[in-house]
Amino acid sequence: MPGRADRTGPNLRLALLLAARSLARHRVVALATVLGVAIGMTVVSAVLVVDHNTLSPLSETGEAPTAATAPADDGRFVLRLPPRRIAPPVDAISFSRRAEADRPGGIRGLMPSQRGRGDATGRAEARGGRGAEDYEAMRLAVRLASLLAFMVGAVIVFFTMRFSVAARARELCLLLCLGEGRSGVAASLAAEAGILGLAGTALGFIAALPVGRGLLALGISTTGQHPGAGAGIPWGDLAAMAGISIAIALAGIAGPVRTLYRMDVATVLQPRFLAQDVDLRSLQTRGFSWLVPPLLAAAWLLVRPFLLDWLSVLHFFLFEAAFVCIVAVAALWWVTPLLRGAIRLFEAALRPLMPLEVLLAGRRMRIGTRQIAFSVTGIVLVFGALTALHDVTRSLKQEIVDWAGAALAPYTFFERTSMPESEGSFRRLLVGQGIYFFRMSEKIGGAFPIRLIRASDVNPYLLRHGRRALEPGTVIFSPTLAARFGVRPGDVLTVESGGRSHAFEVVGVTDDIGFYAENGRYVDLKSYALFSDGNPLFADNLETTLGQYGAARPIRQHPGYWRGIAYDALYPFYLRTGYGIVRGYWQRREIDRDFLIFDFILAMTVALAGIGVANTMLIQVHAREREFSVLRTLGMSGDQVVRLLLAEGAIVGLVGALLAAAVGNALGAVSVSFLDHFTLFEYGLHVSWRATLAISAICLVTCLAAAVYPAFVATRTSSAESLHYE
Amino acid sequence: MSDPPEQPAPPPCLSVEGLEKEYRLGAERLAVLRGLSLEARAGELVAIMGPSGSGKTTLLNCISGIDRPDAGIVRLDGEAVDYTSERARTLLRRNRIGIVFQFFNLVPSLTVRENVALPSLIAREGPGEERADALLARLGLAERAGHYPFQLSGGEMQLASIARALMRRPRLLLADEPTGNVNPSAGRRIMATLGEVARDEGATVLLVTHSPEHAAFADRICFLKDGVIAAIREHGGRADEVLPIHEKLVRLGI
Repeated sequence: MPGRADRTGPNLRLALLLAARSLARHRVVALATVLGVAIGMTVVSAVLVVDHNTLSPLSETGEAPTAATAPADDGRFVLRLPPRRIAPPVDAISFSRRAEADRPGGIRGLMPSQRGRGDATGRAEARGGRGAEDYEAMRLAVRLASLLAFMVGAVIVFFTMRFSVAARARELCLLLCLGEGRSGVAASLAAEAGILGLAGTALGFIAALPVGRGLLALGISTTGQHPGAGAGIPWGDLAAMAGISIAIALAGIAGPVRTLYRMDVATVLQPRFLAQDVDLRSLQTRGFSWLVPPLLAAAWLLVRPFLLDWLSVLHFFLFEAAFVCIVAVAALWWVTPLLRGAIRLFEAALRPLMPLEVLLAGRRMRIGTRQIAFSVTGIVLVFGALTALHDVTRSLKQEIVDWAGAALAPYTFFERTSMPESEGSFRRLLVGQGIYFFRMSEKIGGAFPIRLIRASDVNPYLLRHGRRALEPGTVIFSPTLAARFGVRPGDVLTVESGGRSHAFEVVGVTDDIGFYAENGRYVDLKSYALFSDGNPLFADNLETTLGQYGAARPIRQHPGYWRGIAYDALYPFYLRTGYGIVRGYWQRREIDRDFLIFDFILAMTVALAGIGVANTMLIQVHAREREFSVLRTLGMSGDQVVRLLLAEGAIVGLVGALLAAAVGNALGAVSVSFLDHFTLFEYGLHVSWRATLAISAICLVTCLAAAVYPAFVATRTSSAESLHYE
Repeated sequence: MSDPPEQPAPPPCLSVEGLEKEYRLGAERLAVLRGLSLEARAGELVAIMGPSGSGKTTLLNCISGIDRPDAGIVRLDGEAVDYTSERARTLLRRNRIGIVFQFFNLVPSLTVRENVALPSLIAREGPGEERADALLARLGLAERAGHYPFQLSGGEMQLASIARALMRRPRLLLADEPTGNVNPSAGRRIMATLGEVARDEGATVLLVTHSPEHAAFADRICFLKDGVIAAIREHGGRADEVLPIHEKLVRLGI
């Protein structure tokens, strides 16, 4: 009768014992793996927590000003703005397009965009919800960036599991010889993978909650908008991500175990110098396809909120992902020849200085190029993303810089406190002080924001700069509003109101006039159509507020102190409310804050990359214990061993940095092009070679630093132990 | 008074009949075992000698079920080994066969005691430390029970390996050149211990060796040549009589 001894299923007790002993034997590798899983889990979970508490960008903000006129305490006449409801009733607006030929088309026409379609006359159609997609794009980008961190952690786990199986191949075959069943052997590996996966996931899960709350407390969100007051936890999503994390750890052993089962047990148990090392080495590189399903599951989990509502942008990201894959595959094809080239260069350059290290490291790296390629791939992935993100944030910031330079920096903003005695005296004052002073009305928000500007104020400026004057029957658009409706100079805007049509020719699309510094969303602040006074459409409504706001700029360039003197002369009619240059500074500060979440994700990912490289090198050091022992026995010094490993780290870093710069800038160019086309803002790629060089230097330093501890371990290898035990 | 009737010979513990095994090296085929037949009685120590590549290790691998022969039958206590069932082969190695390797193959992350007790864990019989300690004491390794393999000498590792092989009282002990990686003095000690302990534990020992000095410890020596047993010598475990073995080897051209 079969008893307990005849059971050939998984032997849990034995599995746990062997797993625990294996982990204890390679403590640092195990810890690095746990840390890798934990950091990846922390990043993605923290982002989920932050995103869960991020307000929808569509919530309305701002209050309508109240109507009141009353004398102030000092006798000045104060005009308060009337409520918005007295804005001209606009039944509909439409555009007659001047020229269709140079409107966006071709490939760019296929790509999703918030900009107005330039292919039809008739009723203008603004896409989207006034820039809401900009914020949703950022949400999606943040989530996918966190997926990158998760992927790097997953690759670390995967590679470590491979090492574990390869390093224990003889031990596992021995178990088979002693009568353990194959499922029992697999259980031992599964136990080890499970312990690592569970420990890392639990650690990441625990860390994610305070990290997520900390980010929220700092005002960081996934849309760049201020997060909500609450701190809810998306338990379902976090649990799903934890499950995927553990599944990745277990999937890491699936491929190698399958290979192990097919191996010739008797051959594996041969002495090491007789064994087919190639078979064992291949355990470290096979089966990465098992990583694909859990990563796809993680990607779906992160992208899921956008699937129903936002397919167009999702399509773009899938397009970009496909592009990235093609570029990455092409780049990775170059990894091996680049590595070989770098090795030759290293050998040629350093052979006179360190002939022994060059011989050993160079030969070793030539033979193990394929394995090293995996490390390089991870490096390229991380630092390429860092480069791309830098390109994107730089172009975003440059957009603000450019806009602020035109719309903010030259100006000082004012609010009226009392009416000038006469128009003539006020004009003489302005001429005497050498300033342009543009008097404007309140801005009416909505889908088609409108502001009036005094034609007699703005036309001297326009004419001086060779541009068409603004008159009744003409309109000037801000670039953001023009992008929303696909409008260009020469188009004709028709406003239907109260049964009458009012036509306005678009005479300019520009940022340098019409802006007033007030609070509101960036995209809304930059959206306006400027009409001149004297239009019958605006009589008895918006014109009543004309002159309430003012923006002054010097006619000629003067030193800063002069402005203060000139603008003080406008008192008591106008009181200064702010400097444009200061406003521009705070706008840049705000975008820096908005992008802090990317900085957090990328900093964690760089740390992960460092752990990954260090772990890989440590694994190699353990696998090469006997080699180092033999070298030390032959008289090689500890310093020489350290130089050997640092050289290998440097080559990985150099090649990785080179490829990362290429892949990263390519990715950045695609991303910026998308932002430029899809959003209402104008973005251009600004590649900073200084930044690219800096990121390459960080990459190299990371790889060198990652090689330090393994080099230290290699010098401490006991020859007696390694060479004695076969 | 008539002579008492002859007792029939006990059935062999191990019976190998017509074993064949060949390997494919690319397009070539290499026949290693060509119809080998062999018997070993209960409690007997049988040595297998032969030149390198003659199939000694292959023979042990086939008997233990690690490898599958192309033809032939292997019986243990009259029961044929079922090569078609992975489970049957696993249970064979677990319950009825112990293996001693040339290169020890101890698990480096386990202590000597744990290595010896490993078969007990595999068989789900509990830690088995008591039996392991008893075996280690018998083999003179009691003080090394808590040490790791890298802390032992080659001879000590091999003795630990023998203790592991005997942990579950196997019917058959297979030893693949157990003295091949130790010095001659340790080798003699291992051979003496192997035979003695195996007999005490009731195991039949099938031993592969290159060394005539160590083969001399065997009850019977089988000479393997060209994939078959070319000659058998009943040696009776006379460890001091090495010369006849040398002569046999010379005559056979091994």
